[in-house]
Amino acid sequence: MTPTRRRRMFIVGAIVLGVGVAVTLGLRGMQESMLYFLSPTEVLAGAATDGRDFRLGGMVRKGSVERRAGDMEMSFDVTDYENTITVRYTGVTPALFGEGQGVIAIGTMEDNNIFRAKEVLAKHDENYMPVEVADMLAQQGKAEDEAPASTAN
Amino acid sequence: MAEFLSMGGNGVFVWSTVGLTIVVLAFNVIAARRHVRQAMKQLRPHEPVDSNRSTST
Amino acid sequence: MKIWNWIHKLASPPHFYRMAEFLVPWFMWPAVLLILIGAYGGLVLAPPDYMQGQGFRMIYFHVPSAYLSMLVYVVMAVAAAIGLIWRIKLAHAVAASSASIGASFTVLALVTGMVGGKPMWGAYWVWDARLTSELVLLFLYLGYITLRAAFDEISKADRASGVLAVVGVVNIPIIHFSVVWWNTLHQGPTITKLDNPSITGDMLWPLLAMILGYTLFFVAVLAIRVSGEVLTRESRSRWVGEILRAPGQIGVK
Repeated sequence: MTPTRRRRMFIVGAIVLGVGVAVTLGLRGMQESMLYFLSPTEVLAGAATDGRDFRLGGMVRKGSVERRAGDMEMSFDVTDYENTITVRYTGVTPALFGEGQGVIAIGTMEDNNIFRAKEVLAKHDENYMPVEVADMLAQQGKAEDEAPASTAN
Repeated sequence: MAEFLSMGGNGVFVWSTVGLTIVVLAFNVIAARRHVRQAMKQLRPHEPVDSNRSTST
Repeated sequence: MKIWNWIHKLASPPHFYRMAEFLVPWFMWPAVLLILIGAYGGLVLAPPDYMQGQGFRMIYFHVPSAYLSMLVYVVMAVAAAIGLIWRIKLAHAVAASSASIGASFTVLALVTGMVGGKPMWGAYWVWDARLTSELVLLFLYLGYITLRAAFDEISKADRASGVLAVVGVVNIPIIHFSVVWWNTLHQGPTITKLDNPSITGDMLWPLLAMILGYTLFFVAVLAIRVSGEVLTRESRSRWVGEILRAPGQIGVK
């Protein structure tokens, strides 16, 4: 390789490295705003105390969904398997919303430690399988304890 | 057949995804070919000059 | 250095043009076949998903386009880097030809994602790290195309846009790992997570057929575009004149 080419290669490499380092540092600085949602543990630790809207994410605790007859008022618990926050919501839920499924609720904490949601989004996991396989896994899983699913990442 | 098209109530979005994909794939082929044709059209005026040169040498 | 001579011959525009003319059908037809097989497998043969039912079939069209949007960028950035370091014109031609292909598949990935996001998640668009970084990819492509258009002289356009292409490559690992590094509404990686299968074989193979088909499709379309690009760049040379008098299959049919 000629010296000019080596110099050019060095410059190109240095540019990529420099920008890479700058972007990494920048993203680390913005770590918190890069997070799309907060877990119940983070919320209870005081991550969202300024009264503004934020997104609460986790799993819908099994057996916690209650719908009031007559209107669209409902409540459910969002859990990260360490802490749990009760969410109240009025409106239609997306098709994939359900117990034991991932959920993201947008709204604010009320004084009584209940989350008042304006919007509810369903977060599905990265697993794809036919119904029969899912049933088989569920059968196996009943013996063991309920394993925490992928919301943690 | 109707059941297949309805995709369990998700027909609209599954089939619109398919449609958008066809549009983009077709666009890529057409645009690439047009790119070559335009390049050739742009160069055509040079052709007589070029052929003169090649016959004279 | 025999290998260098060989590479230089291969990278010479007239040689490339003839080679592309020969190779395009060998990539395009297998690509079409694989995409048709993948689409049939995905839409008909694969069983419905336990969670998302029939709606999950959108992944056979969303995932390959998202994958290609990133692959094309890597090809563009590597070609631009080779062009900058070795001053190989063909490398710059490859980078310049990749941009609009990549942009079109980025748009496809974003739009199919939005179309599927509404019924599945409950929202067309959210500003999570995955969706945002993919949108940044679109702006990188559009910025590259705009920057090129701003120069009259092709060699200056090559150099300026090449630097942008190379710099933007840092966004690619960000897109891929965004769902791992930060919590997002978008789910985590399915195929590249090698432990613990996240998708069963009967659902996976149509997806892999589509991904391979898209890759071959990109090679074919890229070869056609680069052919046009080298014609423009080499307009004064003898070989271009010869091709114009006896045009082959590229661009005529």
